[in-house]
Amino acid sequence: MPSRDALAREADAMKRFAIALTRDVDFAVDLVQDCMERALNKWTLRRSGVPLRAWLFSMMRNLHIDGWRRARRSREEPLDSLANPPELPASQEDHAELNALLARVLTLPEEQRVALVLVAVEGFTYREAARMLGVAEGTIMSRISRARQKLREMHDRTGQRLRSVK
Amino acid sequence: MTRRPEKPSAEDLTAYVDDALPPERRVVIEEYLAQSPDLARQVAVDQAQARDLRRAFQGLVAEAPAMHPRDRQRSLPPLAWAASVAAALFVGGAAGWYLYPALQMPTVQGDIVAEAFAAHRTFVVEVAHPVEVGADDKGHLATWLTNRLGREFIVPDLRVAGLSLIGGRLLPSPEEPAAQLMYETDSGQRLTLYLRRGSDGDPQFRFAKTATEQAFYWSDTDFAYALTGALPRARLLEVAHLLQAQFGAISAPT
Repeated sequence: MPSRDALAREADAMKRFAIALTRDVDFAVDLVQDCMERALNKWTLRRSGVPLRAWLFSMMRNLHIDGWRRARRSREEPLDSLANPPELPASQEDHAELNALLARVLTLPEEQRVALVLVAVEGFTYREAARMLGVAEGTIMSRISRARQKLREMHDRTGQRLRSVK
Repeated sequence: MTRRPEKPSAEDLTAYVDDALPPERRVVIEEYLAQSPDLARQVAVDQAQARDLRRAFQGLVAEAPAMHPRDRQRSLPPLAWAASVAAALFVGGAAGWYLYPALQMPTVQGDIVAEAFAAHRTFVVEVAHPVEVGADDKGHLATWLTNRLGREFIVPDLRVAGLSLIGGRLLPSPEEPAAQLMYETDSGQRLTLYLRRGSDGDPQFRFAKTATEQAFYWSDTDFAYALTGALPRARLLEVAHLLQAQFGAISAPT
């Protein structure tokens, strides 16, 4: 069944986005699972013009908003109370710095975090991200701009220099 | 320069960092940044964080084992299939290895891997001189390595796997010269292929891992190869297959 192969190819991206939404590895597992299940059930309803990943991400975000967040946790719960925060293994190069960055990103307000991840991590354009979130392009840009400002402030406060191997 | 370019707006700077500006606008911003060290530093921090953020999120999914929905899960109902894929995805890190003992090779096997890891560690972090001969000079690289390795050498094209060539270099190894080719993903994750004469005759892909590096290694009739990089294992293996196929096409016309 082509839908399953296509879905499996999106699995890594779905996991990344689920982590960005839930900030918790276990919740992210459940969210990806729910989303895959719903995607299979609604596969035939997918409109042809919508790229698969955008469709899946919108669906996942909707799932996360209705019920998920309400049932599991309040939005404002601080990060250190999460049971399973995402963490990179020690085998990953620069894992300490990257984990520190992840922790900072996950403290951002959800709307800023989501806009930043969609554009800076997943490579969606402002227009695509705006469509997925149902807001104006300018809103996406200002959310990203505010997210970056906060990250810079946190970065300066900790005085930790992020080294990027490029 | 007497003219001072107009100050970029916050939106301009955001779009600059996200590489979302048309080229002519980008040039204007760059002119301004060249004269504003503070703002340039801020933009550099944003760019570095964007790169690191991509690496961090990719690292979070890198440890998941391969999924095979095609052969094994097809007969399952949607819910079970989704559950199995989701579960497979998240079996990462240390737990993943406990669950897959058959794949585990905790110690580095053979010199080829130790040599490859040492070369990988040395050069992937190199900013100024990661390679001796860059991708622009691919033809020269192939000729040079053909001569020095004493074999017909092609520079494998891995674009189909989303990897672009950075270049290559010649390295000393205990017996004969070795070569290292370096590739990178769109997000700047670097992979190296290390190869030298001295085959153990086993064409099977074997996996080796230390605390910091992981590689698939294999041999053909004369040469041993090791592909090192922090990609998800399944993806690393796909790249190894591609490499074997491309080298196989020249060395063994079967």
